Amino acid sequence: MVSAEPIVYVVDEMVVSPGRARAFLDAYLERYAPGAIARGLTLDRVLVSPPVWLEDQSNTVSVSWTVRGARAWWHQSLLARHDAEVLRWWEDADELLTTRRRTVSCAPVDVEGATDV
Amino acid sequence: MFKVTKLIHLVADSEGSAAASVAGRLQDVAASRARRVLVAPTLPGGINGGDVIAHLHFDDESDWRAVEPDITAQLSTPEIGHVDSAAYAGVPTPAPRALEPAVYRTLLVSVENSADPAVVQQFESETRAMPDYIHTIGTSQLSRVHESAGSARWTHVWEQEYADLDGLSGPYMTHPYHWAHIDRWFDPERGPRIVTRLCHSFCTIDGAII
Repeated sequence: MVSAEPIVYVVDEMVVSPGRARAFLDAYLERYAPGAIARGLTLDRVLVSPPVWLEDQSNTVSVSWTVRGARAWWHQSLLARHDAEVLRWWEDADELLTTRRRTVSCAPVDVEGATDV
Repeated sequence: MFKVTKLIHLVADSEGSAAASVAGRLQDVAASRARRVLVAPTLPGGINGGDVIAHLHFDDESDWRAVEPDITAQLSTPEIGHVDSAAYAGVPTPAPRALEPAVYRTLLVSVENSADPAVVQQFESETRAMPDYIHTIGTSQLSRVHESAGSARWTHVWEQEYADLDGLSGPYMTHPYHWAHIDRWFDPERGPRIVTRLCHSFCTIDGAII
């Protein structure tokens, strides 16, 4: 069945403290990812930039998730922001990160449909 | 203009008629000095929204101060658990499109003390622009709070009028300007969150109130 709801891409872009990227990514996939999947997100891809585990410099780890439409986005987000485990995860993660940001996007072809509410 | 918004939380075991009783008493007391008075039971679905909204609109702060002791006395009764309150000035933004207001919604937010003033200004300007994108928002007003009380240090009040409840629960919530953009100020999973507490409350109205 084809859903009319647009695919929403939720992308975490995280700059990791020098030499810690591999350990951080392992923790992300072990501690954060299962809960995110349970809340309705689908893991899309994981990218490491540059594609070499740096020792004395920072890697940027990008993790892309997808979810269908605004209602499903709110569902997973409200569950996460009221979950003490999730909040604890991000507090711990911030100790290994220089910066992080999460973007929420759609493909250009879906912009008109997303805003036609 | 000077406005006071109070979200009144009744105690858990209060009688079913308590909300209407509180609303009636506040209405009577406020009417002597207020230009506009809205005191109404909240509709279900709020977040920390309380049981009664009191939204009082005065010509200036002195009118509020004149009735404040009597209002405070009415709120110091056993059936009231606590009150989240904000006093503020500000200018309404007229509705970009004509609509008959039937729902009033208010959001009290607490922005972190440590937030960069430039970031706070960005949050404010982006919030004020919501009606440019979300067509169900009627008259709106974003205000900095002069005097706060209750469960947090409330810094801003974001209030809007809607033609019906669907305008709030539908497009306001499902437009990406809200969930994919503005919400980053509220979401601990996004980097730049500055809002740490909120009260989201709404009620029916019989015409313009903001």
